[in-house]
Amino acid sequence: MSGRKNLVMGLWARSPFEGLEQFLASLWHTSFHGDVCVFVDEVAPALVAALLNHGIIVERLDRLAVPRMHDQSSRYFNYLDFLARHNESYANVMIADLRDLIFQSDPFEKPLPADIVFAQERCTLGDSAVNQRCVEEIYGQAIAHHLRDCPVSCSGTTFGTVPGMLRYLTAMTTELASLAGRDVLMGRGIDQGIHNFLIRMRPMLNAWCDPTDSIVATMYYVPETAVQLTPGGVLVDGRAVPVVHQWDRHPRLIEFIRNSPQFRLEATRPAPRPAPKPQPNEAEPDVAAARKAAVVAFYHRSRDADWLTPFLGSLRCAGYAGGLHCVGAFDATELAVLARHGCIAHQIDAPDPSLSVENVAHLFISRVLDELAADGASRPDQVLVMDTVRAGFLRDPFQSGTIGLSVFQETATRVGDDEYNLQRLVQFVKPDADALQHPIISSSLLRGRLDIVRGFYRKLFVEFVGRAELLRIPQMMQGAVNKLCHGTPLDVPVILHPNGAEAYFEIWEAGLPVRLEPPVRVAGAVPFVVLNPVRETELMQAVRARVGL
Amino acid sequence: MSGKKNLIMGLWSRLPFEGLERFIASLRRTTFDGDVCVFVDEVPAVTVRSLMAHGVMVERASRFALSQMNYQGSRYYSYLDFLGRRGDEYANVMISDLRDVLFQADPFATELPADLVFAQERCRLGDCPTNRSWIIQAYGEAMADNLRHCMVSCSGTTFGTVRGMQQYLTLMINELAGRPIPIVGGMDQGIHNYLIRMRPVRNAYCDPTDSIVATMAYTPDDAISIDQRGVLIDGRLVPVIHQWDRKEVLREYIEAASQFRLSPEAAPHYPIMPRRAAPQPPEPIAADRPDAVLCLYHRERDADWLEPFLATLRTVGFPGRIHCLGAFDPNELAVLARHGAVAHGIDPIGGDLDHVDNLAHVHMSRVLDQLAADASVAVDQVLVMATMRAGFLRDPFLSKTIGLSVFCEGPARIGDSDYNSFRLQQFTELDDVWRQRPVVASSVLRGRLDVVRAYYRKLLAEFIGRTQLLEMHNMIQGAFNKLCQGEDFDFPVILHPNAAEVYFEIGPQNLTIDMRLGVRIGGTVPAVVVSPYRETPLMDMLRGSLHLSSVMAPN
Repeated sequence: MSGRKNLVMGLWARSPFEGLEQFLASLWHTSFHGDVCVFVDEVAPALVAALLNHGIIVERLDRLAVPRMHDQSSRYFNYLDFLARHNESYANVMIADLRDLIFQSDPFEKPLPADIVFAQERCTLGDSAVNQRCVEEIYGQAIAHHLRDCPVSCSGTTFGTVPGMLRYLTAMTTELASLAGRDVLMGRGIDQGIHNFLIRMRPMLNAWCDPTDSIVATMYYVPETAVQLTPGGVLVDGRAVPVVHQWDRHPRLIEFIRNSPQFRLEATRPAPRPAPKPQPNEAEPDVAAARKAAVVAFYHRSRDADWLTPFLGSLRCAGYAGGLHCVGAFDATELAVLARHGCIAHQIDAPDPSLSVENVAHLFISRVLDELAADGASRPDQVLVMDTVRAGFLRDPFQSGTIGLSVFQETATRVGDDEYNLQRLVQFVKPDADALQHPIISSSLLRGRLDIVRGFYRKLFVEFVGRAELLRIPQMMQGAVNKLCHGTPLDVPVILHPNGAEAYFEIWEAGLPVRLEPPVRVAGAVPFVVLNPVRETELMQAVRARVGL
Repeated sequence: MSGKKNLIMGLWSRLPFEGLERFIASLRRTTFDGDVCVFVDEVPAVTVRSLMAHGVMVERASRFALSQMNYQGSRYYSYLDFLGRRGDEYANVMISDLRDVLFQADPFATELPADLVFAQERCRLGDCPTNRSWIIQAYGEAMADNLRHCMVSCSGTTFGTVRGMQQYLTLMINELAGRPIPIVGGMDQGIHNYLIRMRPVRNAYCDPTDSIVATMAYTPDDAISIDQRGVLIDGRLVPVIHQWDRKEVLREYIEAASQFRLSPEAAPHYPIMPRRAAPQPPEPIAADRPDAVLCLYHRERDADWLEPFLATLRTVGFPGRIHCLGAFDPNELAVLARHGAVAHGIDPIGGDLDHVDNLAHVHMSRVLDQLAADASVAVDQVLVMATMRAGFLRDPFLSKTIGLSVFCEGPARIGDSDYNSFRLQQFTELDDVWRQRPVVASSVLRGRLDVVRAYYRKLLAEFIGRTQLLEMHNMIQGAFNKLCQGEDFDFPVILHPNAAEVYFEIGPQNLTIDMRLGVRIGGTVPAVVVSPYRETPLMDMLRGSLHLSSVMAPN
């Protein structure tokens, strides 16, 4: 585990950034050098920007096919998904409520006493009406009575090694899944009933419900007399506990925390946060490495006017923190928009109007890729290239990046069924019966490791050698893309994503169910991007609304 | 990744052991030296015994069974739970169908090409009515059309690094949970195909090259040949052949070949030590040490319980040591030997039964001292039981934790029980705080060997100069409750409610007992049921769920 970071995860929904101030400021005040991941739902874009600015990993809550339940409960599915994706990057994990929690020291300063450490309150389940009711509503009176003498555990803070936390989250999500369909899951705080049932009735390997407040003191049932306020911080039973949860339940604590400078962001650490340390072992996959990605998009004013802000805004609001490059002939206003979103402008002369924009876009993009490859310092690992900015994002486009070259199907329609695409394909290859059965691959976007995308571009442009006149025909590039992706095997796997899985082209009548109210879904999935030449479709409006734009 | 083993996991349900023969025999002929874990459900005890005899880890699938899906669907929960507990020990994982899978080489001999490798069949989803119907059932016709160009992926074999597999399993359980309809038949494959296309997993690859596995249903006959090396697909020896029973030529070859047979005489040698990957660590680590169950047998009290106790413990997949104390006759010694239990002979405990519950602990603490002193016996945790009137539903160490685990008898408090109040009063003053505390049973204890021994030292110290207390029935329970709920140890004492780990079928409990998904008590699967009566409906159910009813019929 040496060299691995620690992780704190939490959920923030429907509340302003200010509510996170004590949490973040106090954490930055400690020696904690790990990662913080906040899952957001129904928050303003400014909040996402502020979180990113503080070096926090932001993910959207609604990506998964979780059964209908309150987001206090569905967050466990997201935590498990995140941890499964990044478990090799971390040693220990804390899952935490964010609003009413402060740090006084790094919670992982000392080795954890068990693989999973639950927070124990100073009250039994039988003596806490709210907790008793919670267990009773889900599991019935006999179980509630049965557990009445167990101390309450607060689900608001739990600590674990990565394997321990995976066990806990697996148990929580399995139990939540088994209750799917029950209205009780819509209740806020019901997860605490499940949590208490599980830790008592389905004990987990190497887990411990800590009665000693060794890492966290949960204040609700802590008597006033046990709390002391000193210049050094809050003492509970004379001891500075690393984490104080539910500080807003004690009037003296509220006053102390609201008036102390160490709980104000500007007084703690300037943003953005310094890079986490210690540095993870280079051999181990790491979140930061996974985030070393770049989106390269082509902007053409006469086609893409009014799209720049929604494109960039939705991408950043979706939690994308990586490199962003836009190629185009920008004016001063557009340059300001780019700068506001941390996007590097690659200024070009206006393209030759006799050439089709969709074709020349790739020539310009490939040049930018060459520049990125030559720059050792900022060389991205994965890139997403887009010949358009007429798109809105629903999640980080690299969340499910894979090996080889990812290409994206426009529709379930086959090449042979569509005259437009067939005409373009026949310029490059004579399609046999089998080729006519192939689905249409879009030339608008491509994703893959930088060297792979560059390698593909080299092959793509070879198709036009001595045939530059083809570049005058709109979207002729798509014929060559389809030839290469379906034809002679490339030296890398070509991963073909169906429409709606990663990119959703709202162009064809797909017949796929689209859910416009939150959480936005296309065919039950959350594509990372929706592309449409029309800006004001219902889905595009829903996409922007979803990310708070 | 160096030094870590690889793992293969699968589900075996409602079928005899013979169906696993080709899978295990062919795997054991390769250079694969990792672990195999089989989750079993509704199989006879002999199947568990045979699996263990061939070095296979056995877990019960029912613990993670969900009411809205079949075992095919809920197996993903068991796999994820297993990786949550033991993922650190492994580098790569294969999840696999078992009946129709054959190995020709170690599937992990070559580095995986991606974090996750899915098996791709030679057919499109749109061209396979079965797969298409599974997608329609789960997601509707429009989605089936949307995916019609995608090649079928078979969910029967999937390969990944531990991280990749955890990602996949997480997404599968999310997706399975998110379906509003029951998961029946092969719908998990429909969900698998939806998932890998519509919710692509990071660094995953649906392999069209059969680099690790060839799935035979859509492989044309002319692509298959057999020579002295084995089965060749497109002229290449693929490490894993799946669905071999779909091709007549393969069926004939495999059913006739002796290398795919297992020795019928194989018997397990307990404790079954986990296979360890090279290089060997210098010191044994906890995961390499077996756990041990230590129990006391008293014929007058426990007659007819020896077989059910041991048989259920082994049938739930417990591979560790069993130490039984008692004054055994030759028949009883034979039963112990059959279940790989070590007998510790003691002189018969005289007098009436009142002594037994107290003296049991004195005897057991001596055996614990012997185990600690014997360098050849490296034990991690021990479960100490003062009785054998019990049956097991799962491995009692599946959820072992830090400190000393003790177990409540029920929701009754000490103050509600004159019996327990009296016993506690012999050791401490009984005030209102004590009266509100639950009753801790003295018949079961669990913890690391050194922790349990330290506890025993304090426990037996309570009787110094007061040995007359040992004459009174179960007086030791008073000392237990004093120590477990009062004394400050240098390790935590974990108090488990009744049924969480141990279910005491004593007095009214009002907990629901559900048999639909194996035995569940209060919504959970305790490791052990302790009952003074052998023939209660619950004990019948327990034996029935393990398919042990016939072998343990009452005398």
